Amino acid sequence: MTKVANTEVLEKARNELLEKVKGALEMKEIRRILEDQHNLEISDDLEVHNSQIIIHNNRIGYKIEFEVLLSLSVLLDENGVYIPPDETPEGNIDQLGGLAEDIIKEM
Amino acid sequence: MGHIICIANLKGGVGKTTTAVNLSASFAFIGKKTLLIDCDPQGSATTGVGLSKKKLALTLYDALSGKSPIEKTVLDTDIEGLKVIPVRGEFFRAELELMSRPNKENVLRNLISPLRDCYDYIILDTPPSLGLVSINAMTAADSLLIPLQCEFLAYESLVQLLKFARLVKKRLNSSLLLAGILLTMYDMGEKTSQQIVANARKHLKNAVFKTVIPRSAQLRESSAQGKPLLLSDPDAVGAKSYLELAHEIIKRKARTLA
Repeated sequence: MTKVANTEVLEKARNELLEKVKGALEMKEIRRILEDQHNLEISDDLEVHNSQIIIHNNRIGYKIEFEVLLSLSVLLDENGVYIPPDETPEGNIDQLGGLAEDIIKEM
Repeated sequence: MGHIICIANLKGGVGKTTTAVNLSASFAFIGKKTLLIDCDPQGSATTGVGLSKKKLALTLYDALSGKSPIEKTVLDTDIEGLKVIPVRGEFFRAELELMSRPNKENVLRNLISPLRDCYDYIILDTPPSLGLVSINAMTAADSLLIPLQCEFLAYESLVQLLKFARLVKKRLNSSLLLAGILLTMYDMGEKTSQQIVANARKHLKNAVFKTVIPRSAQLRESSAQGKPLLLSDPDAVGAKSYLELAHEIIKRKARTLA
């Protein structure tokens, strides 16, 4: 194998590029995209966890991984039995809305 | 003939009394002769319009128990055009006493019928329960206004109340209409508020008032001070929202009659 460039220099250049990409990110937009994509509410600042250069559809892309602080909940009843999401108020709001709609139509 | 609106919800703290007091004040401000009848033994609407429960000579309970003609229980407020029939703690007894009355679901309707011609709007503030007092209020009313707090759990009690209202309409008051569902305690920055509003508009459509009442410390404080917000701070968002609601109800009523 014939080495034609200094590995350290290439690595340094790659890291510098990724740092510049990270610095150019519109964090407000990124937050909105992540919230929409995963249907969640991010309660704290977003922090970049990892980044790498990838090939996506035969083109160079940048994969930026974020670390987010999430507030998640699990519901259980008085007997300690897990209540699935479709039985929680958030889960059945649409169902209740439909039920209310039917009653209103009858009135 | 005056239009009777019953304000009801199974849950407490959803904005029933705040709505009763501020909507009544807004109707009066617009020039509509309005009577607010406090049917909740807690008497929050009574104090909400500035009356001291300790100083009351006659209340709704006196009229209900036959000790006084209903007309004599009507009191003036600081707002021109707004009168009130107050209550205090003793009204807790009404629930039990009504049980033994003949035609027990129609007692309030019969009681307030002589007052209908004296007012444009009569607002009934009800307790957060589905007892005989609430049944009487719904039976006496032309329409039902349901405040819906912008929270997930509020939706469950909405369905319960609608089922109950459907039963009252079927068995006791066939002319009862739904005046509308009023979204209350809306917080623009809260995702839950946004979800509730979106869901209500999607499913309940025109049954939901366009007017939305924001979560407001001023509204809370004005109730505690015994003054409708319109009186203490007419420029406050909360006061303007209730004024907007009054106009919306007047327009809806005109459309129904047209």
